[in-house]
Amino acid sequence: MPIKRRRFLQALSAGAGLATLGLPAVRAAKGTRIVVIGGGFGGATAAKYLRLWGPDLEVILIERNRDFISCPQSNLVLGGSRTLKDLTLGYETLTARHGVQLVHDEVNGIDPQRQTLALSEKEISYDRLVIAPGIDFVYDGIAGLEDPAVREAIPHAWKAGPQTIALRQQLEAMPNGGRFLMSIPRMPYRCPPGPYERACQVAFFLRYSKPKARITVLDANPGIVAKQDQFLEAWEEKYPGIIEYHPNQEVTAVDSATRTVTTAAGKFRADVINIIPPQRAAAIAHSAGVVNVDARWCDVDFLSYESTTRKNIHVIGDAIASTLPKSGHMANAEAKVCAAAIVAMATDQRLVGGPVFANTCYSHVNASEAIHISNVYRYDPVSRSMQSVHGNMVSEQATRLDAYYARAWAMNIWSDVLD
Amino acid sequence: MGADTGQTPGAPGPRWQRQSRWCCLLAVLGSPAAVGAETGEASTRFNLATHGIEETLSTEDKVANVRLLTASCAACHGTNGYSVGITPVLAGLGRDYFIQQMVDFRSGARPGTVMNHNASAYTPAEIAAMADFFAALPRTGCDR
Repeated sequence: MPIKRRRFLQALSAGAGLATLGLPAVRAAKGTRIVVIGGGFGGATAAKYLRLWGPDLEVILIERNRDFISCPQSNLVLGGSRTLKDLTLGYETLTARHGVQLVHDEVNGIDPQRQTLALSEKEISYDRLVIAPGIDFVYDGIAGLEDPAVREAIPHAWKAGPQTIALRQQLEAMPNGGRFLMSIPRMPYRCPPGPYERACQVAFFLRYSKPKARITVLDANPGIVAKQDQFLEAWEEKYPGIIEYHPNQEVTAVDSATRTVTTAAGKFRADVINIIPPQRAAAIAHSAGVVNVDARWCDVDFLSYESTTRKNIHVIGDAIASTLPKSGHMANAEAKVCAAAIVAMATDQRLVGGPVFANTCYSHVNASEAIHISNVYRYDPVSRSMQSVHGNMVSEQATRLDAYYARAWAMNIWSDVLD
Repeated sequence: MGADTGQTPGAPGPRWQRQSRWCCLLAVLGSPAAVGAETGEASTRFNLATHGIEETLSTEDKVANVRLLTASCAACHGTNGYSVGITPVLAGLGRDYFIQQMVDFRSGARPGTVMNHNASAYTPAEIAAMADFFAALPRTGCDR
């Protein structure tokens, strides 16, 4: 190992200026197989970058859905300025350009000892596993939502797809003068500013098509958790009198027959209800034995995203416990750190120092204006976590320029994940 | 999770130190002769070590991390800096030009949105390493 490392460093320093490209001369052992479970922002990025940086690795991506549907921008489907089709992309390029083997299947179990996965009809083995499971919803604390039929009637629409369309259709069918109620779970949850953007988008739709309709927002948190001043300004100036915001309101029960939602403060009635339930790492993370924080999230080493409970299993994206927001952009960034670490391990290199990466998030207040928040995170060796370098920056107010750049962000990150 | 919830920026200590390193880089780039030079001399002119601001990153650290550092740009600027639309293509930008843009974003000389904030989060050595990485790529036609 030391000899290899010395040779590696000599090779790097030989090329002076171009050495910073860092294209490794060391190659991975042929046939090292990395399996990635989950083809969202995190998993698809990991699969692509593993092949990009480790061309000798065999990379298999397992994803149950045929298409990639972007959660970012899916609130615009509710507002009416995007269709779900605009947000639906394919996985073909990952195979055609990068040689990622795609398997559209369900993972029914993981055996970490034997390093195998049970798919619906066969078993496959791995040398190293990356889990990008995303989130599952926790319905335990909300009476009435145990029933799957109620979950259809009262969509969360928090995973872009059929439920997004269902909620849009319910809004279209709502009478003028009706009431839309949405609830926000306690942090941490996927996409912190997302619910407040949703309130804007629904208000945007209602303001023009059902001007007498009103919105109730029940937030389990003590206040708006992201971009507070900017959202409040947008609500007051663009949608005066439409949005009623109630902090510290945790939903405990839902009655779909009477369309009533219960919190400690009382009962709220509405015509269309959208409960965004509390969340945890999706089931596959639990079956892999990597959930070790609050029985919900996965603790990882932020230099490699390897689980702190299971060697050889890495976890990325919304499922991890961290200081980082649960966003598609973060999953994309974490995936690259994970891929770089796996390639380094497979080629006997060593990654020195810690990662630095940026997060940018755009929230649309209507069809043409948005608010951005940006933050750069750097690995802190003392706390062994990712810490914000100098805090976040939020637009002073919603602008058309930010909405234009939101489009740029979406186009480029989709391409970075899938092309 | 607290980091994106509207807190004020981090502790003044480390930020001030970063600031001082940046002042050195700005001083180097600030002289009219240094700005916009795209000749071979530029590499010595921008040699951070000779100006006493080479910091904790050693050469091998830079090499190991630059691919990962620049990969963060990809979310908005495309894989390896080949933007697919609206944002500038970073691949093939001149080294000096890239550094100058980052310096100008940081000072506000170049107006922007996200970049004014993000440019100031990176160290001079990181900026220089990223500039080298993108400068070494062809401007167009590279297979990602």
